[in-house]
Amino acid sequence: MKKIVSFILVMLAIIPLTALTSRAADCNLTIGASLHPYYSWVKNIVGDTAKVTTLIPPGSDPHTYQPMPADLEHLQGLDVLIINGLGHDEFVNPMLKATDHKDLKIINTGKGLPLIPSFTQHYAFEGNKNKVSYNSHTYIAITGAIQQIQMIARELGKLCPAQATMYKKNARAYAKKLRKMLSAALAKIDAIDTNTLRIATVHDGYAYLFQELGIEVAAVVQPRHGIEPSARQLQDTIKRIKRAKVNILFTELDYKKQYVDIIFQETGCRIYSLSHVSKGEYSKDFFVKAMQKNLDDIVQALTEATTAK
Amino acid sequence: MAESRTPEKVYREVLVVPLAARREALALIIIISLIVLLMAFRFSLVSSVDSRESLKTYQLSDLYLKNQAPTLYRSLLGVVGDIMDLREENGSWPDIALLKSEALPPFASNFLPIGLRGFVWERHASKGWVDYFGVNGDVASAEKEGADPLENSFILRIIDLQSEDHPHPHLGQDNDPAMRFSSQIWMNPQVVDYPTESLVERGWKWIVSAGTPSGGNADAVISEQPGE
Repeated sequence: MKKIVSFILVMLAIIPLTALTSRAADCNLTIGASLHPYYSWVKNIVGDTAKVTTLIPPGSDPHTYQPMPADLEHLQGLDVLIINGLGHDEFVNPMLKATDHKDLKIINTGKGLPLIPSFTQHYAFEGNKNKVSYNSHTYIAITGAIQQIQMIARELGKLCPAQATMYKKNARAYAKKLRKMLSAALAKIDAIDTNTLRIATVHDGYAYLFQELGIEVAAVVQPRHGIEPSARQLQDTIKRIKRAKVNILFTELDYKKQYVDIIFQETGCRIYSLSHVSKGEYSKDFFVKAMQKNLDDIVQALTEATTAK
Repeated sequence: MAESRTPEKVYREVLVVPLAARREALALIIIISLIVLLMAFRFSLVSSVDSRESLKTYQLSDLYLKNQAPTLYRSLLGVVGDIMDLREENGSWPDIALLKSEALPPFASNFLPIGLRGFVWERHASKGWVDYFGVNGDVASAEKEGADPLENSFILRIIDLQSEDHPHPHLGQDNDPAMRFSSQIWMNPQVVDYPTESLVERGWKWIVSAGTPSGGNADAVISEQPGE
């Protein structure tokens, strides 16, 4: 009799433990990322404990992407979706409307972030001046990225409590790595006298990054990116560069060389390219590599511009 | 209606009164007005709301921070998660030395632009809350000469809402019972000592972001007690 009682007691103790363990093991989330950085961040947070997927193919431009029927099917299979929420992944909205996925947990990375207003600078022939909107490029930065990574880790931890500590730990380790990159770049920038430099960007997507580097951007010469400038717009861009007496112009990686050459011929300012961190193969290291390249290119641009003076 | 007679045949002339064009025009005007009204209504729904209108007198939108203060503000916000984790791990609010050793800016100043490295930080804590008080040791010479002060003193305040001795105002638990910690960042343009009285009464401003819950819909969640 004693044996039976002790067997029952042991079983009673084991069953809840087994249930807990299986619940933890069952927490195999399928997480979708709307943009490249979110894919990298989530991969670094969850490791191999969750399946991380993307919404659009590697070479696609999130600004112009048109969802396909297969994308909706893919969305239906997600447990969690990480979005920008500030207008950088507008293609997600019609997809969400078209599907009836009530259990989908959406993590809006833009929520709670301090945002930089982008006072949309239109061309002279365009109307709607002084309309205030917020800069959606919160992911092209280190400090902002860390805040978003921590938020994602916390939210994922709520969904998988058994893995919450691991998510937090991974997020902290990743944040440390990112901060080291920032610190190294800052140390190099310290040695450069940036006071004499006038820096401009083709659009204001790099505002968060330059702000945390303590670099003032004198002008944004073509605020809306991803557009093919017309002759008139290019002329306007050149006029803006001349007016702002710009030494360095940061363009995007895919900014056509012919425009770069024309701008250089007309203004003489040095032109460098920065990554928009939203194109290329999806990988765990994508964000670190893209941001390291951006930091290196900024340091190189500042160094060359000051030594050439 | 009029009749005309000819030698051969009799024609009956019928005048057809045109449809009421005035009514048509009126209907058109009403429809256009309705469309315009609907568009205006829709626009008002989607247009950005000026959060300044819903801010308390002791709050300041982060959009109005000057110079490199936005970077410091961003940095303080970024460290909140780490501080909460460290508190949960160690059972006490982490001190400045620990935050430095964890390479957390702004306490570890080498992660900040040179203009922000002059801030000196100290911790003031109770069981249920902590203040990380930072004051700019490298106040610009222009300010020393009497120019308008910029942002020179900051407090990162984190409140454990499960404790009983937490200060006010803060984001309450009423709206989100799952909320354990509430964090806030206060700013004073002057170089000041750590305030022992109410921050509000001492002229400090609580910085709120457009995207945070303490921003746009502040009235719904902020405690009405402005004292400490």
